[in-house]
Amino acid sequence: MGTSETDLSRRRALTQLVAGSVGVISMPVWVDSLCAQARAEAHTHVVQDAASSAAWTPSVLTPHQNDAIVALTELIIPATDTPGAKAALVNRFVDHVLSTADANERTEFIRGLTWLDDRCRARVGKDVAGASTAELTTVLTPLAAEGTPAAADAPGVAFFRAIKSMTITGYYTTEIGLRQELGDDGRMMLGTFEGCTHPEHQ
Amino acid sequence: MQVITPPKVYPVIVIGSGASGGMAAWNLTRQGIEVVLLDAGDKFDRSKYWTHVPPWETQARLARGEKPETFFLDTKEQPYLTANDRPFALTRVWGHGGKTNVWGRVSLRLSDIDFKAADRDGWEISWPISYKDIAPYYDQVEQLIGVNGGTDDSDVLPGSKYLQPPPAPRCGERLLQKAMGKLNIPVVAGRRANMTRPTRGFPACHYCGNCGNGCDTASFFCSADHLLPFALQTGKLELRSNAVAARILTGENGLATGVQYFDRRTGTEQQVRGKVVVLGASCVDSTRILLNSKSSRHPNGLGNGSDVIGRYLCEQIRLNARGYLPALEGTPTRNDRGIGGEHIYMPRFNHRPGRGRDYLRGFGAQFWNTWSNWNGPQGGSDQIPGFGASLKKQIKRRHPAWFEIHPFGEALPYAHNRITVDPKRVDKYGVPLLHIDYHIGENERKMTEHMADTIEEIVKAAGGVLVNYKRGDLDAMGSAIHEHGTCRMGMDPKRSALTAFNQMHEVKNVFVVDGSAFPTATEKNPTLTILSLSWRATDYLAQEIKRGNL
Repeated sequence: MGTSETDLSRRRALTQLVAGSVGVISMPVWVDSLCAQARAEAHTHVVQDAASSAAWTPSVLTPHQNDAIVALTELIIPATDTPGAKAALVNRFVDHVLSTADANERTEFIRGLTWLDDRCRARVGKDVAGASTAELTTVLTPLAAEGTPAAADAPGVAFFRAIKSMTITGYYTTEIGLRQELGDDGRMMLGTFEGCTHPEHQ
Repeated sequence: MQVITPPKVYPVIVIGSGASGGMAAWNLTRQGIEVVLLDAGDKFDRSKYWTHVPPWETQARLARGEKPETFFLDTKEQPYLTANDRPFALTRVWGHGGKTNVWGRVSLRLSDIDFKAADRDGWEISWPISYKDIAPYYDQVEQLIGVNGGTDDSDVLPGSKYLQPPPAPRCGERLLQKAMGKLNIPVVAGRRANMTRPTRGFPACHYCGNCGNGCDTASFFCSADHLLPFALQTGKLELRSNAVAARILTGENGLATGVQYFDRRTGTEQQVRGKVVVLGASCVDSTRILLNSKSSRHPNGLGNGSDVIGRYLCEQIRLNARGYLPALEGTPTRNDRGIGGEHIYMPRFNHRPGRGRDYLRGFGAQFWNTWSNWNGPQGGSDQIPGFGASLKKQIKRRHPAWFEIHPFGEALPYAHNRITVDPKRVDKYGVPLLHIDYHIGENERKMTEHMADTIEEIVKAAGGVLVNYKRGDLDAMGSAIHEHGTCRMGMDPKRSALTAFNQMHEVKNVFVVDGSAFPTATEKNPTLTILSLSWRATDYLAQEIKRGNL
């Protein structure tokens, strides 16, 4: 039995999360690990947004990949009566998470995105960034389905799971997601804590 | 002629400034005893905490180049070793106050069910103290640090007389509480060191729920805020920061003469001399220091003729179950941040008639229903099928309905679960690294089954749905951050390292006052007991000094 040095420099908070974040379908390790990384980074992603200007450029994604991520995040959490992921700049969050991720996870993620671009071109004749919402929906619906994916779809299923989780984490920690959409009152200083006052819950 | 000034000999050297060491320094200095306190880090700056900052306001701060305080020791700076196939997630905080800067604050008294467990079931050794020995110290500590809780005492959780009012349960906690009532499973108000009343000049909790980032108003107990400043005010405390203790030095008679440490900024070796050493560097780091303190009189590590030091590591097992309550779906979003954790607690019940199973010891559980964060229950939102507007709608409906259940269970002490030091692998100061070899056994697996049955029964009765739940999938070993047992107290010097007053059987002028002194892990969170034991041990030490015995 050998010994190993534990590297928790980045993973300190993630080890346990990964164990608890396994989905119904068994996913490659990189998916859960990257989603956990997104959750750990959820409160710092505004580093990128701090500029919050048109001058922002992605640090990991190419401009083409960034356009695809904008389209995918908005497809997952679209504008409805409240703004969606595009307005909340979730693409910048995704880029930031990738910049903090392990090289292997970054590679797998980009590989998945490339796979999806290829699939998109094969099915609707356009890449992700160029496809319409209806076309993207057609391509992604089988990849988002529950149950065991067809072997040929596996890379896309894993990638979609990762981008969906990262989008949700990113969106609902912005003011748009948390206050406007979910209705959180944002108060961080209360004099008293009322708790549940509903007679039907007592 | 050159005059050589002999080095100063301090009455007491304390190592570590967290719950155990901070308490020791505070209690000794207020009794007039001069102390030099070594801490491996610096003071954390409360003005840099982002306690009351919602996620979206971090933007402006980061734009100004500000960063939140980070508490945790990086493994790149200070590595540790584990067996290849047995990972252990060790959390260390080097800095004033140690882990009390970010602790979970759950404050549960042990009872004689815990202290006398081994007398009943015969597994390893019992504590050398009873509840009545420590109860007066629990009373004092609760008044000092401000613990909230109910008046719902039991044989498992005694002594509520000094508790501050508990926060009301949230909706989901109410529903789970009702379900537990139907099942005759005990449930009480949580007991937590968030001050719900102003205490000793510190303001009450503001219910931001962000305690894990440190409290910028010092409204929960942290040694750096609630003990060290008062100890410094006595004029009897010298606090040396960035002093990484490596070894306790001994003389020819085998007694401690001082401490060797390294300056964390410069790496230079330093020594400090003292008549007594009080070790409170946390279970794992105190054990490392003792095992590295080898000498001809102590070839197996300081005070380790019994070979118990490093053995019997017991760290609690923990399950995490998350889900939602359909009854709360679609209800208006509430501000459920609260005191940053559970508002209700399930005390151990498997000792009750007809409730036992085929394993030893027990477990309790915390129940949360809270906005929490994306590491918590809401992390389940990505399990909702589909994408698009329907997904967005469903996430909103479920937002108020998430809950978490966290059972903590006692892991038995086993001689083979141990911390050692590896002379071939050293840190940047040349000090041997610690090696943790830890795994759980059949008793813990049977307990895990009972935990899972209990969770499933409660959730079913509450009409809840578990999400991402894998039965029996325990947290990574080490995740409870409740390490115990590696320098245990006991009546028999052959089977224990410390007396009932935390004094080493073999080295009379060394006291070990942190979690390593616990003979058993129990299912309860340890800090309240660490504070009480350290207070009690240093009362004894102060008497011994005044009697001229040390």
